[in-house]
Amino acid sequence: MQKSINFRNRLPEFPQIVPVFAVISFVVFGWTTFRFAQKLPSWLNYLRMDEIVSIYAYTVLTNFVESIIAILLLLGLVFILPRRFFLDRFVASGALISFLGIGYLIYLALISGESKSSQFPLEVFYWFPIIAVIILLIGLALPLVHPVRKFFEMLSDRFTVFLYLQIPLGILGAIIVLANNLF
Amino acid sequence: MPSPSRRDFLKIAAVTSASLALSRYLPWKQPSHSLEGSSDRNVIILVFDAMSARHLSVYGYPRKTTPNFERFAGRANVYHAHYSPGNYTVPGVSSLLTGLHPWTHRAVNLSGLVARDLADRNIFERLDARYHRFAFSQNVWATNILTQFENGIDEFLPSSAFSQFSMVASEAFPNDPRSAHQAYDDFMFDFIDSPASLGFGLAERFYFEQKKKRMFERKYPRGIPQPRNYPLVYKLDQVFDGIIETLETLEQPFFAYIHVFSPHAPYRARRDFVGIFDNGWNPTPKPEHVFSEGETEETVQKNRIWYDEYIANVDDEFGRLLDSLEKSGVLGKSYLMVTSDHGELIERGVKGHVTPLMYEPLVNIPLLVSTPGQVEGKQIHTPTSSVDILPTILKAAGHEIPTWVEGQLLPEFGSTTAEDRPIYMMDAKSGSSFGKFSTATFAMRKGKYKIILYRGYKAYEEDAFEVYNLENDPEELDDLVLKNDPVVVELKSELLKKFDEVNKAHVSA
Repeated sequence: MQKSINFRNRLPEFPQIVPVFAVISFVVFGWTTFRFAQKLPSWLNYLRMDEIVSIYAYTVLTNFVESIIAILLLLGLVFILPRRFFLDRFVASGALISFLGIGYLIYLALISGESKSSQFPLEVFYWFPIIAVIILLIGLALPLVHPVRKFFEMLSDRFTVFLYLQIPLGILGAIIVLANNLF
Repeated sequence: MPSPSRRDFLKIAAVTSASLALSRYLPWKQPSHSLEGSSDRNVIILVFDAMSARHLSVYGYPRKTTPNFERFAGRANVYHAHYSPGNYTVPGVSSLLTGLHPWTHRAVNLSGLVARDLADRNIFERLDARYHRFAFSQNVWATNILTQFENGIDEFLPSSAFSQFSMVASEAFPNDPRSAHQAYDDFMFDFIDSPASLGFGLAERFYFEQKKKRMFERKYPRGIPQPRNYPLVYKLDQVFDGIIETLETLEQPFFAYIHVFSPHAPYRARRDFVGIFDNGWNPTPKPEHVFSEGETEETVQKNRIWYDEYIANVDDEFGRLLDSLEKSGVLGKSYLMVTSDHGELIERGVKGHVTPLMYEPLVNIPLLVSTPGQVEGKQIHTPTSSVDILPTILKAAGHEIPTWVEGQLLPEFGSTTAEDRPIYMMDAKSGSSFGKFSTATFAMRKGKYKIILYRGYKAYEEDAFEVYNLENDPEELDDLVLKNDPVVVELKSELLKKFDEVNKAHVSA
């Protein structure tokens, strides 16, 4: 007889997912906000405020969707990996993997920005799977050290406060984008 | 008074019909190139992006870059002193389509837009529905401007039409293309700076670069043509196939604005044009300017050759288009205007056109206009501007020219333009488009002279001027300001007066 999969036992509880989502969301929003701040002075030269708000709506909606995809990927990993590897330390490992993973993406974004299209460093991107595995291993291993685990649990918990801003912004962004495209 | 009988009515009808039928043959009705009342003719504006007149053999360039332009010149009016009012796409295209100078339409920044309150002042809106109004631009920035005019466009193709493959995100948002363009193409999925989107942005960049890698490398050894800033690649022959098919099938009479991205950088000629100018001839080196980008003379010369090869490739495709339009009969029924949005500067340590400089290769652009049935070419040396195109086309369509138009009719099309009419060009990409221009280059061509003003740049402590006599010094090497030439004082005074007059904050119409 086949044994049915118990999803509840293979996935973290909602209160555990929230702080990790908060970390992902904070870093993803943070990078875009940083670039937005860099771009804003030039936009002010030729765009009206309502046009800038409209651009911002697209960006927060995109960040929101990216954050959801990222947390779903992490949940997929939790589901696949044995419970003792990830699920037991989901908050600390999830937060650490998110920091390192998104940090690596920021590095790739910086490299992309510095390269001309004709000399785009594709080879740097080819290292992605190896780097991802390394990040995963670090993320799973480091929280085995108790103080590290506590630190990342505490840190990710602090980040949840930003969700009170990011989730409404994401929803508002979705409403503005929908309105702009439907009417 | 007795009412007219049936016989009177028939007499009047017969005389009126005969008069109308004969009138087209009367010499006073239509001068040789008059456009008036010819609303049954098509109008085609063909724009080649970043094509400098100074690099075309049809205008005397020593490298044989444009044999097909020369063939076309045998049956067209060739404007030798035609200028773009701006030195890059946004102001150049906006002036061409609105008939307004940059200081009025305010599309002066790299990704800028025409002042929203003036967006209805454009060629598409002004041509009535008798014309099928068609627009296609491979240049995404020009497409962004065209979206401002889409109320007047009957058929509007996206930049990716006829391309090999494209990932231009804003095309997925037809109801909100400008916000989507700014948010995605220019920001989240930025190809020049770091993408603001760490997920979709990086994924798009990786996928695009991976997919285009080695694409048609045998046909295009320097890489497949693409705009530098956007994920779109194309084969030039495929684009021209698409244009040819479109022009032959458009509902007539039509007005078509077609904007081809080539020969804009990166210069990627087809294999059979690579190396055609490796014959040892090189233009005279020019001294580095204070705004030099640090390009070495070797890089400059190499890029000039690559640019010229790319122009020769474009010219070859243009020849194919010309043959096709001739064969299909479309050319005989159309006004064909071939021009550019701005030129290209590959000298003085500069390579490209994102520069405050205003030298001739950057602003002197081609303009060749053939009228229906024209069989002889004509060389016109009177200075003209892209702002002249809109009124000329409106006249062609038999429309009144609105009072807000800042251009004049082109010579040979009913113009009474004086030889020394001032032609203006400006660059103010780094400042606000809403307020006064604090950092700007402002230039004027008047008769044989050209004066350039640099204002507000850190490189200069105060207003700096350059003045050239283009008749004796077409390469702009002999600055008359340094020689205290008496003409300088007069030109300075006129230019400053004009700049003060136009340099005002934008007030909504």
